[in-house]
Amino acid sequence: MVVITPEMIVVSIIDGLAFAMLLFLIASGFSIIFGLLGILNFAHGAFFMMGAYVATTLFAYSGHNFIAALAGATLIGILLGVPIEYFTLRRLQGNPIAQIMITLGYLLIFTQIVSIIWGTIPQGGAVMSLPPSLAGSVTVLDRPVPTYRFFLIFFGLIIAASTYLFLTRTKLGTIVRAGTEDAEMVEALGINVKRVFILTFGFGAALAALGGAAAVPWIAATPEIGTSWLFISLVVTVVGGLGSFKGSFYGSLLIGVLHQFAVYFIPQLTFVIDFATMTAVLLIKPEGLFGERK
Amino acid sequence: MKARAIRSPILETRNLTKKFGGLMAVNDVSVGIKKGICKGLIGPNGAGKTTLFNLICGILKPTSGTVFFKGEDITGLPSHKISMRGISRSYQITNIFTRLPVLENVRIAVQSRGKDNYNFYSNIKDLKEYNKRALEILEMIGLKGRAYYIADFLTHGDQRKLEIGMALATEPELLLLDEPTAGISIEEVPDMINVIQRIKQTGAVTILLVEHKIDVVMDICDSVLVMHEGSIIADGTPEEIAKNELVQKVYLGGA
Amino acid sequence: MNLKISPNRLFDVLTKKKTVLAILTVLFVFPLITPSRYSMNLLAGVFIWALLAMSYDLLLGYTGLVSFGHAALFGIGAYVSVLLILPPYNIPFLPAILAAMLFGALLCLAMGVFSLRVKGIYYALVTLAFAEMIYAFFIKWVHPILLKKETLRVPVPDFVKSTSFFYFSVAISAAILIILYIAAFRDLIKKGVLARTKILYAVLMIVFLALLIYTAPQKLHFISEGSVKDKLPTNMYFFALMPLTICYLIANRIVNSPLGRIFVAIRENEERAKMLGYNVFKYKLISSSIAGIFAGLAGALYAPFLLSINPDTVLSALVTINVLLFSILGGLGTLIGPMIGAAIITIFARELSSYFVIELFGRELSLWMLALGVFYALVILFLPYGIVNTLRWKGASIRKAFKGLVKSIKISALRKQPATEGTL
Repeated sequence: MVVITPEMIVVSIIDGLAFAMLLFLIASGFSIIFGLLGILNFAHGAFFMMGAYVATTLFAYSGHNFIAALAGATLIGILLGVPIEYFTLRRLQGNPIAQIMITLGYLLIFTQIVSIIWGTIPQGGAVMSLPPSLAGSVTVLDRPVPTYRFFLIFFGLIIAASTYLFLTRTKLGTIVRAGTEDAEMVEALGINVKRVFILTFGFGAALAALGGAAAVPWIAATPEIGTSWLFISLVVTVVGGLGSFKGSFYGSLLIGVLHQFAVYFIPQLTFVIDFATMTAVLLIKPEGLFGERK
Repeated sequence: MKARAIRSPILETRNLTKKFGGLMAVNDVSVGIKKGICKGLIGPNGAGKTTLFNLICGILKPTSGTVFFKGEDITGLPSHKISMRGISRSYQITNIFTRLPVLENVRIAVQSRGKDNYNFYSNIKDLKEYNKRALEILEMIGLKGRAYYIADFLTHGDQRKLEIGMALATEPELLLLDEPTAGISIEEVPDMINVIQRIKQTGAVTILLVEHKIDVVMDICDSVLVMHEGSIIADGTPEEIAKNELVQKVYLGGA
Repeated sequence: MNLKISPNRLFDVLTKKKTVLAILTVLFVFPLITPSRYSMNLLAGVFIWALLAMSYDLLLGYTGLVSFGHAALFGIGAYVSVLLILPPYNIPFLPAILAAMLFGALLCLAMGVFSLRVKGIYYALVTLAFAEMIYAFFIKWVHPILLKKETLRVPVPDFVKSTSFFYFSVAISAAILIILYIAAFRDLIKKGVLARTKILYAVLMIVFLALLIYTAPQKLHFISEGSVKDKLPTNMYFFALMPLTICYLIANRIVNSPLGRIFVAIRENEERAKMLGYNVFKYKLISSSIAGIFAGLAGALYAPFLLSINPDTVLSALVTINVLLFSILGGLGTLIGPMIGAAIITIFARELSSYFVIELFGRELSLWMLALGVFYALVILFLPYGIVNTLRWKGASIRKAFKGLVKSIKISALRKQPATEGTL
C-alpha cells in the first residue's frame, strides 16, 4: 500500500484525466455505434490497437513525424472501419448475435495479425518518442508530471468539444443523435440511414485508432491492448450509458480517474475496481448514468 | 352481497394518471366497465387509449391513481400477474410468435393456464388437451386450416385474428382489444367483426375495444367511451355518443 | 405420466429415434474397434466440450439468453470438484461432482438474479463482468495466495483407473448394441419396409458385427492385461461419454416438454410471453439453473481429464469464445448442433494446428489462431445459423440444387455440345 499524500492525489487525478481522454476516444465511438447501429462492436479494440501499431510504423518511416503518425492512424481507422461495416455487418442485419460475434472475430484476427506483422519488436512493445515540445515534464506540487499528460487532456477536450458541437449543431449530427433514439423513425423521414451508419462507424473507428496512436507514448503498443482497452471502454460505456455521447464522456472521466487512483494506491485491485464500478452501476441504474431505459 | 357484486363493475379505474415528463398521456381517468358488456373506446390519435390499456395491463405503472379488477387493487402489478388474474389483451402492433407455427402460438397461450408449467419430462405431443383446446380456438377464429403454417406467413388480417385467439386462449374475464382491425384490408374486416361478435356471444368475456372504424364500434359495442388528450369526454350508448356535440367537434365531425 | 412401461413399449420408445441410437452405438462400441490412445483422448475431450456447448445451447439457443460468462460456470465446476477431492476435504468423487453441479447452478442463478432485471444486452455484459471478475479473483488471489501454486494438480479418481470400470462400460456398450440390433432386426422382418432398406440394414449389421468380432477381443485383452497408462484413455472416453449421453437425453426431454416450450416462447417474444401470464424472470432463472448444472458437470469432468487446472484453461474468456464458436458453427437451438460444432473444431484444432506454422522474418510463426479467427468470421458470414439449422431449412433447396446440377451435367454430356452452342 502506498502512502496517500496530497501530491500523489493531485498527480493521480491529472493522470486519471489524461487516461480518461484516451478512454473517451475509444469509448465514445463504441457507445454511439451501439446506440445507432445496435451493435456491440468488439472490433473497436482492434481499431484502437491498429491505430497504435500503425502510428509507430508511420512514425519510424516518416522521420519521427508525430503528427503524420497520428493522422495516418486515424486514416487506418477509417480504412478498416468502413469496409467492415459495409461488407460484413450490413450482411448480418437482423441477427444481432451474429453481428456481435463477427466483431469479436475481427478482434481476434487483428490481434493475431498484429502479433505476426509486428511480432519482432522488442518486449516492451512498439514505441514512439515525442517531439521536443511534448516531451519532458512539468513540475506539479514538487512532483514531475510528463507534459504529454497535459497534452492528452487538452487534445481530448478539443476532440470532445468538436464532436459535441458536431452532434448538436450540425444537421448530420442531429440525424445521428435522432438515430440513436430511433433509427427506424429516421429512415421513415426519408434519410438514407445506411449512409449515416457507415459514416458513424467509420468516424468511431477513426477516433478509436486516433486514441490508440495518442496512447502509444504513454502505454506502448502490445498485442493485448486491443482486448484490454475494449474491456475498459465497455465498462465506461455501461457506466455512462450505452448510446449516450455525454455518458461516454462522463463515464470516461469517472472510470479514468478511479482506475488511475487504483493504479497508484491499490495496484492489485485495478481490475476489480473497473468491474465493481460497472456492476454497481448496473445494479443501481442499469441503463447507465446518462442512458435511457429503452 | 351477491346483488352488489353483480352490479359493481368488473374493471374500475380511479383517478388514473400517467405523465411522461411534461406530457399528460392519461389524465385523471375514472371509469367503470360493467361485466359482460362490450365497451368501445374511441378517440383521436394520441388521445391516450393505448396508454390506458398499458396501464391496465401492468406494462406501465401509473403516475397516480388506481386500477381495480373484480374488486381487487391491481395497480402496479407485473403484467404476468395481471394476466393470470383474468385480463388479456391483443396489441395494436401485431405481437405474436412469428417464427412459430400458428397452432403453437395458441397452444402456448393455453398452456399458461394449465398445471404443466414445471413439467420438464413429458413430451408436449403426449399432452393432447392443450392441442385440442388450441384447435378449438383456432376453429372459432377461423384459422383452423392454417394451424400448421408458420405465423409469419399469414396475411396481416389472419395475424390480427391469431393475436385475438391467443388472448382468448388464456380464458380471460376481461379482454382488451387494441385496434383489431388496424391495417387489415377492407375485405377482411367483416371476418374480424364476426370473430368479435362470436366472442361477445359466448357471454363469458367482458370486452374493451379500441377502434378507429366508428361504424364497427357503433355496431358491436353496448356503450362507448370517448377519450381526448388523456381525458374521458363522453361515456354512453352509441346513439348518445353520436349525438354528443363535444364528441362531434373533437372527433367525429372535425377531421 | 404413465409409469407402467411394457417391454414392447420400451423398445418403441428407445428406437423412436433410431439414428440417435445408431450413433450412440457407434460411439459406445468405437473403443473396442480402435486401439489408439490418441483417438480415445481426443474424443474424451470432445465429449466434455460437447456437454458444455449443449448447456450453452439451452441458455442461448433455447431461452435466448446471451451469456458471455459461461466460462465461469465451467471453471467453478472444475475448481469446486477438485478442491473438494483434495485434502483437507477428501470428499469422494461422486459427491464432489454433485457439488460442482450444484455450484454451477447456484452461480448461474446468482448471475441471473443480477443481470436479468434489465434488458437483453445488459445480461451479456453483466455475465461478462462476472466471469472476468471470477477469473481475476482466481489469478490474483486464489492461486498465488490461497493455493500458492500456478496450476492445481488433479488426481484421477480411482475407479477410472480400474479394469472393472472398463468392463462396466463394455457391458453398457454391449447392451446398447443389442438394443440397436434388435430394433434393426424388427425392421428387417416388418412388412412395410422397402427391400433396399432391408438389404442395407442387413449388410451394415453383418459388417459391423464382423469388425467387432475381429477387433474387440484384442482390445479387451489389451486393456485387461495392460497398465494404468493403457487403460486410462479408454476409461476416460467412457467417463466422458456416459454423462454426456445421459445429459443429452435429459436435455432432449426438457426441450420437448412444456417447460422447454416456455423457454422457446421467451426467446421468441418475451413481452408476449409475459402478457400470456408467464413469469418470465422465474423461467429464465430455471433455464439458468439447468444450464449451470450441465456446465458445472462438464467442468468437473474436465479436471481429471486435463490432470491439472488453472484459470487460463477453465475460467478464461477464451472458453466462452470457444463455446460460442461451437454453438454458432453447429447451430443454436438444436442441442446436437453445438455438439457437432465442438467435435469439428476440437478435432480439426488438434489435427490441423501443426500445419499452420510458417517461417516469416526468420521466425517460426503459428498462423493457427489467425486461421481460426478467419474461419470463425467466415462461419458467421456464410452460416450465421449454423450447420444443422442451415441443413434443416435449406436442406431441401440444397438437395434440389444438387440434383439440378447433376441433371445439367448429364444433359450436357448426352448432347456432347460445347457450351457456346445450344441454349442450355
